[in-house]
Amino acid sequence: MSADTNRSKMDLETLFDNLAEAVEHAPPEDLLAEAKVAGQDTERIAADVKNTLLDAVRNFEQRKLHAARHAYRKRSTELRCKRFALPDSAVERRKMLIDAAATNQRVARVTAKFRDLRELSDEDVRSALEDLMDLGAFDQSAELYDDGNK
Amino acid sequence: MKEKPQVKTAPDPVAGTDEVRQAIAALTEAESVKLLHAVEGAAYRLRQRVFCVDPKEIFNEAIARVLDGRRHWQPRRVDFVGLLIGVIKSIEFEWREQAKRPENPVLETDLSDSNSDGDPIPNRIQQAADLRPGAERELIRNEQITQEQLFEQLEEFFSDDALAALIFSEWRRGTKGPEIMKALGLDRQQFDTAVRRMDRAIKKHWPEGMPDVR
Repeated sequence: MSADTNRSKMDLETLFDNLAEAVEHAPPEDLLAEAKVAGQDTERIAADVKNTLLDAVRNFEQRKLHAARHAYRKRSTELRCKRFALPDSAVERRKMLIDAAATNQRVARVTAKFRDLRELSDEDVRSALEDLMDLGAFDQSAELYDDGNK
Repeated sequence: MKEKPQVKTAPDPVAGTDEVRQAIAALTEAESVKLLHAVEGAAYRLRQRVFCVDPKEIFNEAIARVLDGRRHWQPRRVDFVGLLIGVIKSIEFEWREQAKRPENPVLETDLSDSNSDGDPIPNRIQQAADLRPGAERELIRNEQITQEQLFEQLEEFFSDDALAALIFSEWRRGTKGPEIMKALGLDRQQFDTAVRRMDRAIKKHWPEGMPDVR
């Protein structure tokens, strides 16, 4: 091995890597034996490690659940906002439904159960439009109306 | 020559939450101790740069990375302990790197060139050009030791342990572990045991984390 110079050729990061590797390469049984020699309660350590890891899994699942709830609330809010985009007048709402049923296959399928859309009550028209919006079947038609381009 | 028919094999399945739970439940006492060693070591080393790192935080992050797919676990290829130790290493490396630079770097273009009174303020480049350190920064810097001073202190700690002292001085010379083992006639187990003695001595001397160096 070579003679030393005054300055280290090793930096702190390398020292840290070297220390970490001594654990990484170690057979678990060696570390267990060392811990026992040091008087550590290894049974308790094992239980604590398992509980911490299982808690971490639970934390992750809760985060996922929170994210799903957040997405659901966001979607609900968007849907509510879209309902506000319905035309103000009953005549325009009925026209919107009839036009959409004529041009949009998805809307036509859903409204097929009604014999004549012109005979529906204003409340049924509004309700049908809202249901269609909730189903997402009506988005494009609604947008056309919002733009005033229809 | 007839071409060998290509056999399409299904990719190794990636483990989900249930498999991870089962793997945790199946950890042996020895494996749990090893994982604790790894995570505590990472937290300890991180404390040199990052304030108050808790081993639990690292475990949480490691599990999150496995479950959200940032690190895929293919149980047929990698054992769970090996996987977690690899993830812990990555987290340690990333957090150390993050600690070296500001969390949210500010772009020069984001900065206003005048204050609320409309007076011009120096931009980041002009500020960087002023190399006079602030009084507080200078005080901290004066209290910090150099890397060489730290290594000299470490060599002193290991003076009672001839093998540890020898390994450490060879590291300082730039000698790699396998070369040291060969030169000293050590097997991997003897070498690692001596290194872990060094690790324990360091932690005993600086229980809250090694001092940062300038």
